[in-house]
Amino acid sequence: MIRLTVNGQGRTIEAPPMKRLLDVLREDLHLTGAKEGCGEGECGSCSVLMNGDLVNSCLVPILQTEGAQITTIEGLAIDERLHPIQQCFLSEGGAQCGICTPGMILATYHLLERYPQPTLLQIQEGLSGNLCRCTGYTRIFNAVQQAALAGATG
Amino acid sequence: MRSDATQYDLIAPRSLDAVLQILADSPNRYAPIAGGTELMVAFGAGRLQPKKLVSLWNLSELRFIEERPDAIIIGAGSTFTDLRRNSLIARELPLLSQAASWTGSIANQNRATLGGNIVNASPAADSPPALLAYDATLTLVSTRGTRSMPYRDFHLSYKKTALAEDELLHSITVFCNFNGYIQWIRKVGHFQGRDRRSRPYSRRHHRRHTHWRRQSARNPGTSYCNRAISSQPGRYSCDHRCRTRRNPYRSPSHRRHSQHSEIPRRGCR
Repeated sequence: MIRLTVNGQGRTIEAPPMKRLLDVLREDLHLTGAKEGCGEGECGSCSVLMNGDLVNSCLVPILQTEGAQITTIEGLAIDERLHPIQQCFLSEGGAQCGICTPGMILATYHLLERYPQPTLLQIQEGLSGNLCRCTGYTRIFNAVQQAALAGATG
Repeated sequence: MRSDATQYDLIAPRSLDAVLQILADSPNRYAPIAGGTELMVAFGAGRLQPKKLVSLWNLSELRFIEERPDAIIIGAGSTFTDLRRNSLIARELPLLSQAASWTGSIANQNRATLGGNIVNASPAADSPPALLAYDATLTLVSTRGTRSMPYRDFHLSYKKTALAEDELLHSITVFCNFNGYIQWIRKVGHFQGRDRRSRPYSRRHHRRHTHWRRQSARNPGTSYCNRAISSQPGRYSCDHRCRTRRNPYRSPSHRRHSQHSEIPRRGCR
């Protein structure tokens, strides 16, 4: 029995302690926003926030999340209204196939929490663990800049 | 093929003493796991050998950074993010701070620990060269007691260390007597000083639009001017009027080559 908070809701999980957080989110809690890309912490498409820190959920055994606060992409929108970062990704065309997008948005959220007005280098570093094979990144960087200008801090 | 989670066991004792007791009672049977950025990759690929693991994540006895008058002591469970955000490390141990920023991505830095990086003993790790340059000392603990050893004696060969079966790396001590030294570090195979995959520009764009800031007392390291944009979203070229000059290098390899010859000049300053 592992107790944790997912998107503000207390949850109790019964799972083998080595089950990956990603699998628990997708299979047990049916939160399919976090995607499995590489499964080895390289691509960032499984990114979630754990106690406010960006982590690759494919590398977190569920036992280590005991008592933790997990935020997934599903927890970002407030009252069914898109978070400003999501809105900027939409308006700037920062998403194409969408596999990397949940991770990109959470990485942006984590970045803007620390640097509300990031430079391009800070944006590049903040998203360096999130791979996108569609957009070529330029539109994603534009979306992050727009979000920063719109004051979308975490 | 992925490992079957039901075949594995993981326990998370609440104190370091309890972990050490488990390691002492059943040597060889429990393998320590901290941030999981190495072992969980093996698990995901179905090649994680130890079936029983004991978690060190977030043990407060291992996650600390302490200042002594003559030394800095870093708990083995400190993450690379802990190291990067620590002003003491940034001021006193810039090589380690820089190496921490090169280790993996932000998400991995939030989980990977300095102790894990050392004990994993990968020859491609980023932090060991900095710690070797600082001639760090390691503190190892077990139920039998505590011992210290110079870090330079810790690695025996590829992925082999002097750590006993029932021992844990507790902390890393760096004695700060670097008066008269100039600290400089570089990562091989690097673009613009950091590991960045999100690299949308061509080399020509890079030469045209990045600036090289002059070295000065306030700017001891090498950095490109990054006070770019924000006034004009969508424009990536540098549009401010700081006193920078254009990147003088023809290519990343030209920059590396030139920087090699800069080292002795800086040393004689």
